[in-house]
Amino acid sequence: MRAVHTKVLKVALIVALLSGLYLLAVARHAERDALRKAAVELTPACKEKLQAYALGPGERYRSPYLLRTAGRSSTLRGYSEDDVRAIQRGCNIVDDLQGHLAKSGSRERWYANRFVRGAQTTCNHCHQGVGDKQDAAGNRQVGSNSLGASWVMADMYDRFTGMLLPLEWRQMQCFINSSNGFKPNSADDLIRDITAYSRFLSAALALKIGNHYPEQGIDEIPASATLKRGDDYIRGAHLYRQKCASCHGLQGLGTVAQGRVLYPALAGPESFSLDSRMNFARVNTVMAGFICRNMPLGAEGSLENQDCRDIAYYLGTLPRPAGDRQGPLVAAWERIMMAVMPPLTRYAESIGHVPPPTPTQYAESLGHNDRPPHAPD
Amino acid sequence: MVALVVGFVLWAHFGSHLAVFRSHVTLERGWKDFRAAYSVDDFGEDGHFVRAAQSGYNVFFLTHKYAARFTRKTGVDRINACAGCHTAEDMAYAFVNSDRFDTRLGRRVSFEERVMRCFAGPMNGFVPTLYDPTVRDLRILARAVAHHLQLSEGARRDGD
Repeated sequence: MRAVHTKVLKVALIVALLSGLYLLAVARHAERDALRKAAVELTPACKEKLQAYALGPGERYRSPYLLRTAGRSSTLRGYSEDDVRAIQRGCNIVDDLQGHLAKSGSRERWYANRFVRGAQTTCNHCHQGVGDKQDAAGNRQVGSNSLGASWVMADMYDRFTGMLLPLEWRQMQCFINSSNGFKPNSADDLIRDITAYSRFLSAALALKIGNHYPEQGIDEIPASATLKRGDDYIRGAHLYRQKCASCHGLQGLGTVAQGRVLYPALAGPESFSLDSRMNFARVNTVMAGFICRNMPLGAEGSLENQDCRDIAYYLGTLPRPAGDRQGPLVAAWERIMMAVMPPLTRYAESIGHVPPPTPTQYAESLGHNDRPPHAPD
Repeated sequence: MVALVVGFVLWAHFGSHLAVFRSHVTLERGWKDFRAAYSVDDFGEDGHFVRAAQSGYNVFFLTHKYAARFTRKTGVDRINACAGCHTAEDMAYAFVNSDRFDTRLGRRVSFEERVMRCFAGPMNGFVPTLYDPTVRDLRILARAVAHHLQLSEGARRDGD
């Protein structure tokens, strides 16, 4: 009799557990449905961007950008209210992945912070201009990682992974490497909304499927695009202090004020991982290209190719999180370095402070007669 | 043991005729004309993308043969391939108009899901996963055709 009671109790426990899980799943689905139907409060950048592109529900869509730049505009299929909300949410995610600007925090971003480590990362750090960077005259910036241009060139062969890479999988890589995090499901609302926004950008900019546009990806800078003096991380460190440190900090740890990320971390625990293509030690052309085309903010294009490679090289030497490929020993070592190096460097700089050499002094020490370009004494 | 492994590899590549072991796609009738008509060579004479488009072509026109896992249709059925209902250009337009809200289903539906639903419904078969090469290659075929037609996102067949 007792054995029967125990068995019944066990079955009841299992049924209760499964019912609990089922109810939890139902509640989560209901929450997602409610979020899909809820009005979207746009971030200021998204409000400006989507207003400029006249996003709204309707039978037809005409791109004001095309009208402005080409004097004509084709009529495209319009968007339903659900589509509009998906695009708006996608824009918000790109601009503010972690929900710092949202009333209910990451909930409005599909809890995207589940997929990233740290509290700083957002897509907009690499995909500037909310994935659509333009200059003051409205020209799309070359090599600016445009999301719209990425969409029209998705599914192409990716030399880093050896795959035909859909945009959804490319996003997963961003989450894993650039955000040093975890892979969302390809069909997750988070990924689908970013895709919806990317697709809308391509419609607004009238980009054609399968065409390559200069703003797609990063305009990589190989060594062959320099005078081949060799990359020099000492010079890179010097240039970094001159050109980058005022925003990103001397240690590259980024600038955060009142909980808002003003400038992203380029090293340390909040930064991209060793596996990221941005890591010079892994791919030595991408970060250099990004710097040359997108940095310093407001003075883009002012650095020479070699400057960008040197800065990227220097950044590649700073401690950052290990990726999935490095294994636990490297991960542990990087953790130690990330904890130890910043205070150690600060201390070393505080004692017997020796000012870094000027570019001229440095060039002379190398036996060069010239000095680094764009480096005032 | 080594001979066994070598023998298996040789069989897999040359004798098995199993697609999973082959790095090339079977040349079916009409591919060369299709390739020329839709400028698939814009993506190079050969390469991953072109092979995927060719594989998509095979699935699209000979679904019962190249996606037999996902359909109960056979060679004797009158309509046994995607091409029985759609043209390649239909696919391209469907692709650039996908990921939109479907009033009948009450949610946003992707191109991949449309393909999956086609297999389950009109093709009287089974649903491939989102990641299956069959779905991917059909999408890539649609992309290649959309490129040839120079379609942008949301392009309509009736143009302006």
